[in-house]
Amino acid sequence: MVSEIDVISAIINGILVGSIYSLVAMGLALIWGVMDVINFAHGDYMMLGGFIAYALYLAGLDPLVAVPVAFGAIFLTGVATQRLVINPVLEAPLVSQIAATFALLLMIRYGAEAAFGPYTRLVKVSYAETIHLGGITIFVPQLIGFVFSIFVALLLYLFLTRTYVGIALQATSQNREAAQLLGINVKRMYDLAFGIGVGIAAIAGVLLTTFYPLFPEEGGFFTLLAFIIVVLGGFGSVFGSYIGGLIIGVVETVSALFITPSLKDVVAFIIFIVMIMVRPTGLFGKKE
Amino acid sequence: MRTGWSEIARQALSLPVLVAAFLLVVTPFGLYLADLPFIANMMFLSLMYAIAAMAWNLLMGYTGQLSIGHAVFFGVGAYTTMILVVYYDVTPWIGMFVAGAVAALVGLGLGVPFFRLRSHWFTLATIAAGEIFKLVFNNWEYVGSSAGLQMKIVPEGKALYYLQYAASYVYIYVALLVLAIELVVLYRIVTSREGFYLQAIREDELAAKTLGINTFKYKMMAMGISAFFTGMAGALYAVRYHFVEPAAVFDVITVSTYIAVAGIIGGIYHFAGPIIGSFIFLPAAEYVRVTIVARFPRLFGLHVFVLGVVLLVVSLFAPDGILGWMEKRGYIRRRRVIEV
Amino acid sequence: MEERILEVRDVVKRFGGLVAVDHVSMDVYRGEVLGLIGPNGAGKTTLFNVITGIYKPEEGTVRFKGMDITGLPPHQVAKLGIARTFQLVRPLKNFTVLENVVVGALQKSPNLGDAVEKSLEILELVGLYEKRNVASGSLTLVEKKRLEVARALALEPELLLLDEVAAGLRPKEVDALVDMLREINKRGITMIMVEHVMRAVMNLSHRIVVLHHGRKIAEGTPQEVANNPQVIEAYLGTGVE
Repeated sequence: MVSEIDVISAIINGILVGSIYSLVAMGLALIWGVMDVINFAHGDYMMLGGFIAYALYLAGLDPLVAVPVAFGAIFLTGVATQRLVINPVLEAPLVSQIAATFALLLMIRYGAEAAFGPYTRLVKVSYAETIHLGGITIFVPQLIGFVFSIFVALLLYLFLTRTYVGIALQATSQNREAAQLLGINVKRMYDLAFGIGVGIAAIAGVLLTTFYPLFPEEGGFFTLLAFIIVVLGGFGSVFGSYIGGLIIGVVETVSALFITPSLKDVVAFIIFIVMIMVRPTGLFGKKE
Repeated sequence: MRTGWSEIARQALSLPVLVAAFLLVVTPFGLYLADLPFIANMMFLSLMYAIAAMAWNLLMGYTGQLSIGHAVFFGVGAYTTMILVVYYDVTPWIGMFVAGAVAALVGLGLGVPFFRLRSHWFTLATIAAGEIFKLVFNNWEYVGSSAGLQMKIVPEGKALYYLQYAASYVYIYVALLVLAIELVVLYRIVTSREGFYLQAIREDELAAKTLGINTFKYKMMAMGISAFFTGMAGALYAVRYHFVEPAAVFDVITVSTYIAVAGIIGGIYHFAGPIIGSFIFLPAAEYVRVTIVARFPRLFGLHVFVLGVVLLVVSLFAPDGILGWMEKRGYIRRRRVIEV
Repeated sequence: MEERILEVRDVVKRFGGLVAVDHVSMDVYRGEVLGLIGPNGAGKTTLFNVITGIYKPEEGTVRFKGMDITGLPPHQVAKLGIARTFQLVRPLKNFTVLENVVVGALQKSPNLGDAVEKSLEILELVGLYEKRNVASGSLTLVEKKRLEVARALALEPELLLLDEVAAGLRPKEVDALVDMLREINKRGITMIMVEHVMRAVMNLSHRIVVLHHGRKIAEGTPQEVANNPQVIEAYLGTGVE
């Protein structure tokens, strides 16, 4: 029997893990919204963030130190990617765009596999403890990840709504031509959107590494989850994606109580297909 | 405007086609005599992917629908063949065609909801479908869950019935047979009125509708045929390796993506593009895997990385694939449906 | 009594809160050219999309030759004998000019040879015969507009809907187009033309219907409509924008 406390516990843990999904998805939504490009390699940039955290961990530092490092490094990687790979195919047919980001996916994911080895790594942080609160179990690194995720989301919110560059990014996402007429350098906006988008994914990768095994192929699953979330949260809506991530996290942990854990993702994918059938607005989104 | 058999025969008897066919038929036996099982396997895989990629391209190059979920049909085909032989003792000779039919039914079932979607939304739905099938088969006890299904070793006298041979070149001939059937079917379609309509849909679906084309019907037709032959490619996999598991036959990278990449590298707007693509990318990836990765196991994954590099180069510098690049340079020309 | 080829009755089409077509009724008689005019956003193209089955109206009916065609899918409407052109031209870019036309011609002439022969005749009529083997994506705008008309004609329609075929053309090109359309009309094809270029509408139309904010505000001969105060008001009112 599933008790009430199990459900509450599942909801809380769903929100904690979902907050990491949210970060990955926000980055994807930013890129999708501003550039109208689907980044199939998104989860792989996240994985790179995880490896940066792991490297610092091996050097004796706390993996969380990697948050700014990973963001900076992957931001720059993202800007380079946008200039060298994405920008040349922006006007190309859909199949070329998708082929280009799939090429990135194959290169990053399997390049990392060849470079670091395919095996799974575990990071053991000093605060890897569980808190028990009347039957509810919370893993401390996950709680920390949650706090960081809210912090990052808040910073992104302030950036997008309170700074000139952020508002310009939003404007580009609303209407590319109008933004151009207003004197916004659209190409620079693309650099920023892609850089920030994958940079945030890399932060998610760092946070994830403190409580989840790290392996080069982990990105695939997170990319798919991020698609689901972005569509659920309203295509292109960065903040809708944050809520969408929490919802998917909760759906996963709660449905795991009732059905075989390995089938819980089936539920998520079916929701996804249903969502794209009734798109484009999702729960919080703008019209396509 | 359906192409007559005489026209197909005339095309089939043209010199380059004859030379290629002769090489394809003679090579496997030569590989056997020369005892080169690795190259024989490479050739089998190239053919298997060529069959799937040709089928995939009926949807992509001809109809404009990009699927990255063809593992669904590949996997369903592989499992159908396996279930029939393991549980019902049905020979794979029949099983392969049943596999195609079952895959086609699955394709039509998915087509009904998915063809309401346009451009990348369709692509995303196909990816999700691939993941759903993998997860379901992973948890389906009847088909052996994640452990998959394995064919028993059969007594020697029954080799033909169960299609079990130690020599891998035999399977190349089976694959060649399937490819030959597929080429005839696809060629007849793409040169017919239906094929012409498919291309009109690819160019502009709304315009096609207002020109009286029932676009849903034709997309479904393309999907059914595409799924059928992809299912047969999956059946070949099951027959060749006597073993299927969800992680192998429903994989989004090594099945869905590889099939699409083979088509894109060869050129989606040319009939033979996916064959060319398969025969270039597969040997390249296999060569890296067997010569470099096998010697330095630490470099596991390098072959897929190389594939990524090739795909990147193609999508940046030759977006219409190798044959598209050759066409642009004037080395070959695309066959027009009508020339007056 | 003239035969009504198309009867539009109380058609309403909404998008969210916006009423694009608001209880519009109109008749089209066999053999005539009906001009459909009105300021931008009046609902003309939306009405075309309703007639051709691209949109399903919330209310009202569309009858073609007495038969209810409301909500039929576009390809069936096309087969029944209603062809259209698009305001923003939609050539099948990688197809040659001839192939574009053959796609339509195959509906009535399933044999390729017949379809090609008919298509070539139509290309001659619209003046694109010389360009028949050119990829349609590389045509000029005038040529693309003519191709739109050719492709629609290939369906052998009884009713032809023309959506701003004269837009973006130079006066001389407009005159040539008007001559071509008059020739097509003489062959017995009924036409509805949505048009901003007055030179074209006033010259060709037997009758004109005026839409404004989704409603029909006037109907009559070109002279009647031109002198209608409501019409003048509608055009002046929005001209200030």
